[in-house]
Amino acid sequence: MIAPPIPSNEVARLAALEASGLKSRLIDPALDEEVQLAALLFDVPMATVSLVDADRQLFRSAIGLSNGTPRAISFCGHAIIQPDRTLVVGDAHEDERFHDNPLVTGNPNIRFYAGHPIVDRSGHALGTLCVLDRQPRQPTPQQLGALAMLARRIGERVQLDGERRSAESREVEVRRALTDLAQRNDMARAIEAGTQVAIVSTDAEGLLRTVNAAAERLLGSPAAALVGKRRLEQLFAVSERMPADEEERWRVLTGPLQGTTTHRGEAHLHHATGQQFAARYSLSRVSSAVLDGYVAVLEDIEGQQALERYKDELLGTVSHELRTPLTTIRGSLGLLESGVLGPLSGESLEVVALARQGSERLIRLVDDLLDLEKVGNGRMPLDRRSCEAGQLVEQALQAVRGAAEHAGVELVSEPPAATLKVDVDPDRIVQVLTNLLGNAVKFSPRGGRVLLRFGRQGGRVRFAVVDQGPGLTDAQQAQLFRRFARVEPLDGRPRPGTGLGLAIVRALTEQHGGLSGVESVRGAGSTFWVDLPESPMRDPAETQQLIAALRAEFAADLPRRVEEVLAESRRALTDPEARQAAVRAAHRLHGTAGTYGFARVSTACAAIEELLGRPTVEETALQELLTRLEGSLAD
Amino acid sequence: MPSRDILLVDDEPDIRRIGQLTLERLGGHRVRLAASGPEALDALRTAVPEVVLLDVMLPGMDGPTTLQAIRKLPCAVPVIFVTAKVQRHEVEQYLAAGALGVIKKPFDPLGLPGEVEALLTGSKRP
Repeated sequence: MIAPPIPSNEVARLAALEASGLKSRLIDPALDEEVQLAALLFDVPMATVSLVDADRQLFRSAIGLSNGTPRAISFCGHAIIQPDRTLVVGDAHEDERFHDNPLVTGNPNIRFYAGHPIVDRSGHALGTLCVLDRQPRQPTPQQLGALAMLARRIGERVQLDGERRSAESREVEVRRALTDLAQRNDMARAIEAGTQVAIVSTDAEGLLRTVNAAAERLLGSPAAALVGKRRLEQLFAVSERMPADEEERWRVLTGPLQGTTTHRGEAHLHHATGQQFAARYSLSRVSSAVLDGYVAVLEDIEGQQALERYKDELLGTVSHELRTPLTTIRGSLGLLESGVLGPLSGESLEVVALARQGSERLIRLVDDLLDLEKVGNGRMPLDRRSCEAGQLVEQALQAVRGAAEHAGVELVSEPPAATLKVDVDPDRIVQVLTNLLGNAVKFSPRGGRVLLRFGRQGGRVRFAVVDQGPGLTDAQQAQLFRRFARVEPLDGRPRPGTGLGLAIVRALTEQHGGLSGVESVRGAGSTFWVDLPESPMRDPAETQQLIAALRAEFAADLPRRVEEVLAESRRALTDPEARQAAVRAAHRLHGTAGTYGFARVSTACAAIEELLGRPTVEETALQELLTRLEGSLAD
Repeated sequence: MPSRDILLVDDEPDIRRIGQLTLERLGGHRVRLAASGPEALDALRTAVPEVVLLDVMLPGMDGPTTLQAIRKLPCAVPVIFVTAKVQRHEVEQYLAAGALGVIKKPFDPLGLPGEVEALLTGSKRP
């Protein structure tokens, strides 16, 4: 006996068989018809569709046969090797491949076999349509031709069935996806309706499109009264930040939005009762198939603000009430420690000193709390004056010098070349710098160095305190300026402190209209900085210097600005719409050039401005002015 | 440090006692006490000290009002405010009202006699 060889495309063939659905009997029962036809055609007792699987041949719609046999003894295993040919075995007894095959020597005692491969569209022979007999036979070419035709029909049926099933499954998938989408949509609507967060959306022009239940409650109006009738900016009340002009208000809201960013802010909203309330809003631009417009999340912070005020007041009162007893405690302990009330033994002295230090720490905490409360409430009036930055720095360095020496930390300041003046309350800023320096000393290793650098930066004066401490993670940097935000130092050594120092720094800096921040790399120290407004008051020499610097800066920028006026003016000649832009460009340059003493530029611009302001513009006149303006660059 | 006669005015008994002990034991001064503005004025009518240490936040007649009243008395006693309110503009108001100087509360007991002395001898400018 010779076992059937394995086709060269076996892996793909088996996969195709699997995918055909024939194995799992999903196929149309009409296969029976072909098998019966084949049996009639040859007038044989046995016929079947045989699927040649990895280890077995499986019979489908079989007549006179059981379910299948091992592949190794199958006839069909041989038949599929040539997918386009019918395998005919006239007498198995005479065939060396099959004469001792158990299917020949035993049940079902095959003598005759004819099988034509069933081939799918990709050319994989999945099995055969075969007819068998217990007697040897010689089929006619017509019989074999018909068998091949039937086998091809089955192949086509399999193919079509597969396509139908994949189309069906796609349809099922689509239907499922649609149901899912609908459910999610319902869910989104349910969330939108059920949430306590007020959400409104608008079209691209700002006209309200949806107002959820929470927003209805927040604004005191039913959605029907708002949707399609009011615009987003009309929900906002006029305030310092929100201009009376609605178009401008719209610009305040949407101006900061770039790309997919979200703009957050605080403002007052109108309630239907006519009252206004403090609210926080966050506005996003949304461009999708469903919505092309804006989504705003609104939040009432009136209550929060009242609570915040109450908390601050409470904090203030409590702190103040703590001061008096603390004075007594510190005074008493100090007297005891001094020994004037009688000598103390070594250990008594030790605990009294501990108690005195504890009381001092409490006093610092109370002082910090009071400061913070005052700044937070705007109850710390600033006594602003023009102060020399170097002097403030010197005072702050003086204040922490003792602590630095004690900690073995070197203090260095790096002043700028020119004298700098800041417009600040000196006491408060010395306090800010002292806080930053104190922290830096506290977190420096022994033998480390703390550097205070200051100089002009972006129109302000930056004071930066650079340390060689353990540094901060990004997360720590983010929370460091909050009240009581004590972060675990990266070197694992906790330091004493009230946790309020940086909150005070930030509050005081902001009250000055300044900024504060930190930059740090883990393991490479931190740089804490504050930016404060530079003092507009200068001595005459400095003013002259500054004017010269600004003049030089302006001169460098001049060609670009002249070019702008030239371009706008030329555009205005052909496009009346552009005239306003040209007038504005000329007007801007006219003013600035005048300020810096660029007389010819200024005059030329004024003339252009005037000419463009007239109802009709003479091209030659404008051309002449433009040439003059271009020429004026020489001065 | 010369021994001086001092009038200490504070509504808090604890502060009065601590201040007194500190000034007497550490500074070697003689201290009289008053708990309010009117009490202070009475004390001044009896005997004029070398300096008055005056609390600012007194109930009823507060420190600055008391100072005004003291200035109407026929004595030129120097007055030092002892107060927690030491912001620059507050200090300027006190000085404008005629105070000699300001000592911050809560005071350091060990440093109090020295601070008073410095203000009196003019070696410390507020």
